Amino acid sequence: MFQLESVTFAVPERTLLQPLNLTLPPGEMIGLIGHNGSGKSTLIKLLARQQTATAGSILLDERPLHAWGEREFARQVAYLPQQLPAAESLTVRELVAFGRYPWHGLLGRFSVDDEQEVARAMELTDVTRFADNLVDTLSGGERQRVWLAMLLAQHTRYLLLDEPTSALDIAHQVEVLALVHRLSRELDLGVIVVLHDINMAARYCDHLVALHSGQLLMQGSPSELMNDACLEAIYGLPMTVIPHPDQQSSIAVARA
Amino acid sequence: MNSAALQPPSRLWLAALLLLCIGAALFSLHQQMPLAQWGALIWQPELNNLDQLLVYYSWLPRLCMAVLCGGALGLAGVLMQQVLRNPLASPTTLGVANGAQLALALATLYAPTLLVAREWLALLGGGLATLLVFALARRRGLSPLTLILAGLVVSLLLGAVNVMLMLLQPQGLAALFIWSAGSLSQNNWDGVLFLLPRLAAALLLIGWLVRPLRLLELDDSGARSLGVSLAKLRLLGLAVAVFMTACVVSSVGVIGFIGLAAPAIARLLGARTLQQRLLWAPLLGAALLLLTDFGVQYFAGNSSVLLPTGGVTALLGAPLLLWLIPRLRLPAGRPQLQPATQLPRLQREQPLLLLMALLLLGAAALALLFGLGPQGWSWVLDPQVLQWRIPRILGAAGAGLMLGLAGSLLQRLTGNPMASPELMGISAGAAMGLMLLLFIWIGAPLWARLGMGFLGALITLLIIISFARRHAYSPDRLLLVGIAIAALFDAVKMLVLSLNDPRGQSVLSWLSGSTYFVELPTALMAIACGVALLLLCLPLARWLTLLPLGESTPRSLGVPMRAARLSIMLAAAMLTAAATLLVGPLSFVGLMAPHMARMLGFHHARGQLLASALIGALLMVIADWLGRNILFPDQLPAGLLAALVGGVYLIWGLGRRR
Amino acid sequence: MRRHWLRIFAGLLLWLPLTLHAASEAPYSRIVTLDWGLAETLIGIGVTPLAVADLTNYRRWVGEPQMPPQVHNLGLRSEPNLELLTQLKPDLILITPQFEAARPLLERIAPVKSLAIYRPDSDPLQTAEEITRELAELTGHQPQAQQLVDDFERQLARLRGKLAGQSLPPFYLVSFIDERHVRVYGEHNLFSAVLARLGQENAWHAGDNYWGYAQAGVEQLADNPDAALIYFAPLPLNTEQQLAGSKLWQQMPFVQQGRVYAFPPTWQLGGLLAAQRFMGLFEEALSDE
Repeated sequence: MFQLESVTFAVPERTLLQPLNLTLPPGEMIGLIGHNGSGKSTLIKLLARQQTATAGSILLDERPLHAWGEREFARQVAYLPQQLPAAESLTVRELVAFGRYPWHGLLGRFSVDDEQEVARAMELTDVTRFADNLVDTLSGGERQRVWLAMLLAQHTRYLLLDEPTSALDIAHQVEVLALVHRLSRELDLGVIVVLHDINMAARYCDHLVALHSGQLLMQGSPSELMNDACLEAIYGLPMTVIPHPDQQSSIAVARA
Repeated sequence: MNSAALQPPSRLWLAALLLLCIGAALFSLHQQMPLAQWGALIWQPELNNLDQLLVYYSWLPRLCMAVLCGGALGLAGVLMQQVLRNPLASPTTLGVANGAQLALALATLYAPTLLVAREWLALLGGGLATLLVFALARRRGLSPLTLILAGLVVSLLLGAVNVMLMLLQPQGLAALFIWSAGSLSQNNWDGVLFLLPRLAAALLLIGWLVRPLRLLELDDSGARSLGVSLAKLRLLGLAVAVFMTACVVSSVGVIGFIGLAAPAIARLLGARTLQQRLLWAPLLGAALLLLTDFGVQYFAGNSSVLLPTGGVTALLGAPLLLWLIPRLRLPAGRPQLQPATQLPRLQREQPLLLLMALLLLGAAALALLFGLGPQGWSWVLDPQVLQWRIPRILGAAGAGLMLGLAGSLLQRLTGNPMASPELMGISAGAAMGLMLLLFIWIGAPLWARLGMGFLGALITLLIIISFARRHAYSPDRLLLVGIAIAALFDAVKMLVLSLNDPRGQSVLSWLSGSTYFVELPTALMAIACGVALLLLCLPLARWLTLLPLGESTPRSLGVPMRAARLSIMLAAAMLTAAATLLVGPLSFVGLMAPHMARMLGFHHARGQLLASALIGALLMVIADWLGRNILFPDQLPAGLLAALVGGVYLIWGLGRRR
Repeated sequence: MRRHWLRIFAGLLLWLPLTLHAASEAPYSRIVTLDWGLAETLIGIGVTPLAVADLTNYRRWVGEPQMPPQVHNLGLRSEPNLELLTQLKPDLILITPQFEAARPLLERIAPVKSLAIYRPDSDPLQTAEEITRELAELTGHQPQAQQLVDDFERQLARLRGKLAGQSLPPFYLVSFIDERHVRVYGEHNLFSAVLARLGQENAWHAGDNYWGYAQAGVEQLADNPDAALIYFAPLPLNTEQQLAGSKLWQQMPFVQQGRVYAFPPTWQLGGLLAAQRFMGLFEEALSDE
């Protein structure tokens, strides 16, 4: 469980995150939503220890983040940056095997256990057939799945994903988010994901956290948040929520 | 950006600067000529009065020259920065000035009749150098840092050719020494009259280009959608900038850093739009050069030392670059995803490594036993001759091994295949220590040289690390600091050489990486040191595998970033310092060896380290052998030959489309 | 393979003391030198050196005296070719302090002697004489050296007497670096010392370096309006045309008054022979008027 206690993040010119109190439970898929610059990306970077909070404290399992050892933390929390690094001349298997670093460390042997974890991660994301291909030759959706596989090989309790679908077309967005959702269920993973698209967020997340101008605006289940008033407050634009023609969920459209 | 920074530069600044320049000018004129004659100079110049003559034909044209050159370079800098959308682009950082200079030097020596069209010759040289820079940087998407790295590589390569000429023709090129450090001294109005119409033409062209150039502040697709032909616009803008640089170089030589500093200061003073910068940068450039030149004239005065102004500006400019680096806004993040690269991949690395080791042994044996002698090409088994060859070959191999290793470490650390020990500034630091020693203690023994070299490297390393620490050891800033230090060193070197001291010859051969003075104990130590550090680096392989993935991924995998970067940096620094003491600061082995290893298909960190080390050693052994034989009995420094061969390889290898 | 290495090392070890022993034997006949001034002086006392460094540039910059064709070229002065040197088997290596860094290497081949023509605060002409005698001691050519010194002194005395009545201007001694820069020879220079002995004045008083020269802009030569100018060939390319087109140059007092003398290549860092040659050229130039 992540607990945030009056967490602030500021750069010299402005404050990106106002004092924020928030609790993020494990085992759920939590979507971070909000307008551009609302602080959702900053929040996920703080949770992933990519940046350190200016003030306040973040606890993971009741222990401050900075108190965790590097590899110890990496065995609990895996993070996927918004922009994937170039994986020049790496095969899929090699990249996925990187996920085992927190377990074997700098000098430890790459054990049979590690081998099995890598194989499992590739199976879960259905990339086993690409195992020996170069990562950079794959399509966008395939590449995203490979990186997910690396995160799974890390065998953590949490996945933090920063806009994992921003570079994908609609079909691949659905494919990746459905996969993440399924994994969250099957592996009892806590997933915290930054999403741009409110409909995708509402469809796949168990819980939504909405930020506005660096402040917590509201949180709740998708059904609680999916109404005209809430969405207008979040995005600053008149929105209408209409029922989905085929599914139980609803969809939001801009009225302006 | 805060709102104050959006204001155009205040009039106060302009007035202060103008007053300063006028004050300096009056003071300088007063040094030249008593006050009583000033009136006469203006109203009725007497051409047989020597004081007035000097003011009229030397002081005044020199002043005009400083203003013109400073202005032209400032303008060229703004153009380049605008066209390339790169805050670090400038005539010096892109190798234009060096290219122009080398073209003129070559013509002076080998085709003097061509010198009638010196600006076109300089343009050709500068243009070719620019092309080389682009060829090198193209594959990395012309990102600002890569472009600057490529510029430095090309500058170093051209510098190597220049040094080669200087070594072989020391007296004949005395003028070149002065000239590569840019002296503004004039004795008629020819220079000004040469420059004026050419710069005016360039200015007209720029005026015509301003509107379309402004659109380049948008990103490429934005500008294109507004109907601008980007390629043509860029080419034209760049061509004008290169032409202006070439004109300046062909009239006064290489003036360092004005082209970088003037636009940067203009920007910091708040000149935001292109028009503002086009106005302010030339003014600042002219003022900077003018003030520097007055300073040089005042301090050098009538002493026995002739200080070329261009060298001094470079000397002042390098610290400025250091100061700028933390303030630069570089485009964040890693380079964009590349189109799929088909680097070969080896399935099994051991057999090839073994083969390479054997090749190295074979080459070393051949280099030891075969070569030119008084009787032509021959095999030599005479121990009295071999005693000279053994330490040189061992020393070369050791240095090559260390450079290859250091290059591999740095490229993995920074995730940038253009990174190399030469570009990190550490070798420059070591060389600066050596150069200082040579001038305070002629014929210093080996231990003193080793000590001074190491001290220089250490101080540089401390500077780099203290800089890097402020940016969480960000590799990009590391490279920039290295570039600044390398530039500083280059300025010091050119200044020292421009003194035309007989010791300069020894400095040159020392600095160009000669194994001449390497003796057996040193050579054995080099090998031992290299192998030991290699063994120490192998366990770091996993960090080296993860670090090229950038900032966030290794961090989220639990790699202790600071410790990892610091330890790799230290290892690379130690390797570089040791290698520099053996073969000088100038060889591209550290850049070339890792690249060749990658091309051969070594893609794992461990295999790449081993292969780079072996290739580095092999390259250096070959370079040393070539240096000993190619112009027998003249002995050319191995480092220099490696740089020449390496530069050609890099331009072919890195720039190649696949 | 290993045995071969051992042999090389053993050879190295055995061979060192041998060369040190050889050091005591004089006079020497197989002499090599890295310095052109020393090489020139050797020729002057009738000794043909076995080898001289950078002969190619010697021919261009020193000119006289010409090196006989059998003299070997040792390669660049900063890095004389050690392999070649070993194979030539010299019995003495002459260097100047500038090449001191190479001494440990050179000493393994033959005894090394360092002779400084240029020392701070000493009269280079006097040291040139001393060095001529020292070279004579080393080679057993004392009579020739005496002859050289005597000739020089006689010529000096004669010219000094000849010039005694005339009032000559002070002289700038320069080499052109390009049309804007010159190397000016100051008081520590050999030729300047010759001028002094002839009772003449060097017009450059603004200081010079260890080797007796300074670099200056051409315009600085206007400081003394009464001076004459002597410049040494070779001139860099196009310099003559560029000077001809230069207003300032044309207005320089020595140009206006026709007091410019061009001398052929003469080694400015040379020894007694160079001094003698300079004196000859000086006399010739003045008598042309």
